[in-house]
Amino acid sequence: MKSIYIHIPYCRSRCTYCSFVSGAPHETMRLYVRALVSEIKDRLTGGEISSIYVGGGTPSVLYRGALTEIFDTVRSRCKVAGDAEITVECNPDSVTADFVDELVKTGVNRVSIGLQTDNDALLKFVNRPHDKSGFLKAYTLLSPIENKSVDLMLGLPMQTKDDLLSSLDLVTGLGAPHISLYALKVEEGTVLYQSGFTADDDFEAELYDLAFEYLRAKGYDRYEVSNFCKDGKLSKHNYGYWDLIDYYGFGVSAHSYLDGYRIANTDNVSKYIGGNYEAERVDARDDRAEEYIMLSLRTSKGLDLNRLTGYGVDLLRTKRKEIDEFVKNGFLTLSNGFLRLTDGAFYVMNGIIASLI
Amino acid sequence: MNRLEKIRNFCIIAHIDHGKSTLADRLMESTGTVALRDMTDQLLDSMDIERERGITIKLTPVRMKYVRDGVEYELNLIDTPGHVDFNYEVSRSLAACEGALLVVDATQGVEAQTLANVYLAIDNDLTILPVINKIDLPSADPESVKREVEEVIGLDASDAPLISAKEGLNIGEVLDKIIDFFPHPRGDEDAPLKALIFDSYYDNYKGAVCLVRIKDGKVKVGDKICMMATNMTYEVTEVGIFSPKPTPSDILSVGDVGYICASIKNVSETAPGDTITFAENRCSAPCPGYKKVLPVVYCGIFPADGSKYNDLRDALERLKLNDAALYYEQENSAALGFGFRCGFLGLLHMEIIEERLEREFNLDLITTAPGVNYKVYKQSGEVVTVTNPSNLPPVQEIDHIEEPIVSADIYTPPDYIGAIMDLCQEKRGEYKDMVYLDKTRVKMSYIIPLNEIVYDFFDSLKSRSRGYASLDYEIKGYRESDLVKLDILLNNEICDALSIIVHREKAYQRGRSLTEKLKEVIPRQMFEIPIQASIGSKVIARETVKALRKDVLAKCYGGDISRKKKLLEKQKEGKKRMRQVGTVQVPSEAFMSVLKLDDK
Repeated sequence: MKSIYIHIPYCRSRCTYCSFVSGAPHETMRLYVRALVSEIKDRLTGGEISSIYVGGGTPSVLYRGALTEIFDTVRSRCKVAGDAEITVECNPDSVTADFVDELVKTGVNRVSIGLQTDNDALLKFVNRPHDKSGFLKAYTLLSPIENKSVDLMLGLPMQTKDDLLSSLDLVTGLGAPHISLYALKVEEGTVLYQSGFTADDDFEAELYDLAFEYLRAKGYDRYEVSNFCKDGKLSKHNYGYWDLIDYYGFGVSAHSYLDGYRIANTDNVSKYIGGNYEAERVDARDDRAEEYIMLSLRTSKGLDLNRLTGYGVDLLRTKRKEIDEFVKNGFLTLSNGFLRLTDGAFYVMNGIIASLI
Repeated sequence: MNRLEKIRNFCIIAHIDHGKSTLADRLMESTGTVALRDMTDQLLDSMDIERERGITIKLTPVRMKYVRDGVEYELNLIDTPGHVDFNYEVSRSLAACEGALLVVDATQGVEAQTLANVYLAIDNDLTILPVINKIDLPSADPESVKREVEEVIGLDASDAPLISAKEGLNIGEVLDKIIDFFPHPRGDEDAPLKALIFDSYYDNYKGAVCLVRIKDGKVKVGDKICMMATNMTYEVTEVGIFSPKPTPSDILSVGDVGYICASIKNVSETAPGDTITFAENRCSAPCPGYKKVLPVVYCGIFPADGSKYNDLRDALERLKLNDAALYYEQENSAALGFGFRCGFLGLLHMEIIEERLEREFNLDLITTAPGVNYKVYKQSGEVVTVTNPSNLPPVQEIDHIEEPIVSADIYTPPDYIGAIMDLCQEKRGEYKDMVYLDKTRVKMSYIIPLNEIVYDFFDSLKSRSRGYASLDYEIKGYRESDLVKLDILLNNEICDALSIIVHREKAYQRGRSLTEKLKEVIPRQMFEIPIQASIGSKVIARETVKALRKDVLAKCYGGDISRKKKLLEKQKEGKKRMRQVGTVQVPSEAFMSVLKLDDK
């Protein structure tokens, strides 16, 4: 089974930390959706799909009918599994009753809402197009779709521990089954980067630990470094990335992973509309072992050593010394053929992974 | 006029930047030795480093023809290295000359090195002709510089040519004065061969090539010769002169400057100062002044990438072919792996070798702090010499330690006397003398441990005198001193490559600045790293590198894992440049960064 990612490069406003392709002029929307449909028709030929994720940008700013057209196209080209997870990202300000209606009608069964923080002053500072009350309104409108995820951010400029706790209180109080907690990354070329803001890694780590403890106490399981869920409501789609399943990426700047090839679509909306979808195709068939190491260790399930052996790497032979050292120092555990990061090691995993690949 | 009367052998003495190489270029150009189109600036300095630094490392003699009043003169210019590290080499090349041009910058006046070399020239009985250069510059003050030459050096400067080597001004006058002022060589053509080796270099096809001045007799291909210091004998395969490229000739005769090849395998067999004579018919006594050259400054040199050890060994072998003064032996460091302990004539020599290894052989190096040769007297009565701090015997076995000391002369404008006195005091200097050379220049004399000179003395001297002070020093012998081994511990394990031998009173300060510096350059890791400086088991300074808190890429954007892959690959690459010291990853740069610490 494969999964599908669809990128919508439109937003009402641009957040100061954003480095995604999201700023396309809204007049191009219809042309874009037409191109998207045609890309899906071109590339999607049969097979069964286990999850679809529409992200952005802000899919909720699409005109009514756009999602219907997109999903109809997908369904006409392949079989979407009966239990498929179908997620659409939305921003609180563009969630309307019509929109929710369209989601339900098109079979969307999961939404991911970008809140980031419930502090209005901070939201304004990073140029988010909504406030806390807008979020609450949208959350209520979206009640027909039970499986909700809320995005929060760590390390926003001026964000305090209390800010974070307040946001967590709000979201867990609403009973959201899934929370993504992303650390702010100051990417080159963003407004925030130009403003000279630099992240305070130590404080960010403190915030992360705080959130981790908080969510654990509330019954949320950290199944991946930035993702928490309760009652097993993990994001099947995102999990697929860490599990090396094949996926199509449709739309501008989308990435696909098919039969060991990693394909990147163009970042340029005009080119995309003109029908030049693909920008780069890399043969990653020999990278499978390395990719599995770096992706699987992000999850609480951890790295299946047997599976890795199937990719041609016997880590217990090639990296025994490193593994023993990490285990001894309490950064890794090794049990039942699985290698896992300990709780304390999740936020410093890059160094560990770099030693194992 | 006999043959000898038409020969002049001379050298040029100058401070760095005073224009020695430019004058040499002009002389060659004026005598048509090199066609103008073949001129590149500073023709004699053939190594890149020499051109860039404006210094001469290897000597290159050149023969010029100059016709005056229908007589063709043969002028042999023997270039000399201009640095204190190569004092002995300078003295040997001076011994091959009868005259010396003393080039003084009309804007700068006499400098320390100039003086040191002038004294060497006087010791070697040379006739010295002052030449005032750079008179084209607006700030030139030839009259007062002349006066300075007379007052400071005691030379008659009234006839000194005023020139601009750069502009080619009055070069003819210099050529005329060389003929009129410098004595011609003397010697007995019929006596047994007596040739002074003043330098040598290695040629892939000819072996070691001796640069010689024939003092007596003559030599030709097929002659059986003998090196008087080593008693080794060879058969001459080629003789020739430099014009300026090596050009074979039939014979070298008394008064000549040229080269001799004799299938000699190694430049260590052709020591500067040695005398070549015939194997059978020997001359009665060798040329005076021969010394065996010994290294005075040592440091460890390691490849930054451990797998490049063999490349480093090959490179040192290549350099050694041409540099008898370079010494090296294998060294094994727990922190840095396999490398070499190398010995040098001085700091400049060390820097040049390091630079050549990096540039000409494309090696990435880690060097350890420069040190000197200590004499360790053990309680058992045994005396060992130690150049590597790691080899210092345990404290309880040591009776006392002696360290080399130098007599240092510092030349400075009076404004900086105070600052320099402070510096010398800090460097354990013992004041000897101070002389006002004139109103603007003072000579300060100190006895200073060499150990302190090799540790950032030049840099401090320059910075405290705004670049005006200059230094000349000479090894004076050994003196007992209260020295200790200062170790650096990373996460409680000694990092041998960072150990140094210091005076006990300096240990605290050095320990503090070393730990502070290391705290800056060692990246945060997954655990807290204590950095300690200790003498024996006593910790005298401590810093801590806090544990890393965040090292994660939070999100894989929409299935795009390329960023994460790149980041991890970069991290992995970075790891390769790290050295493992116990459990701690230490970047190669860290070892270098502690070489230059500001004690202030």
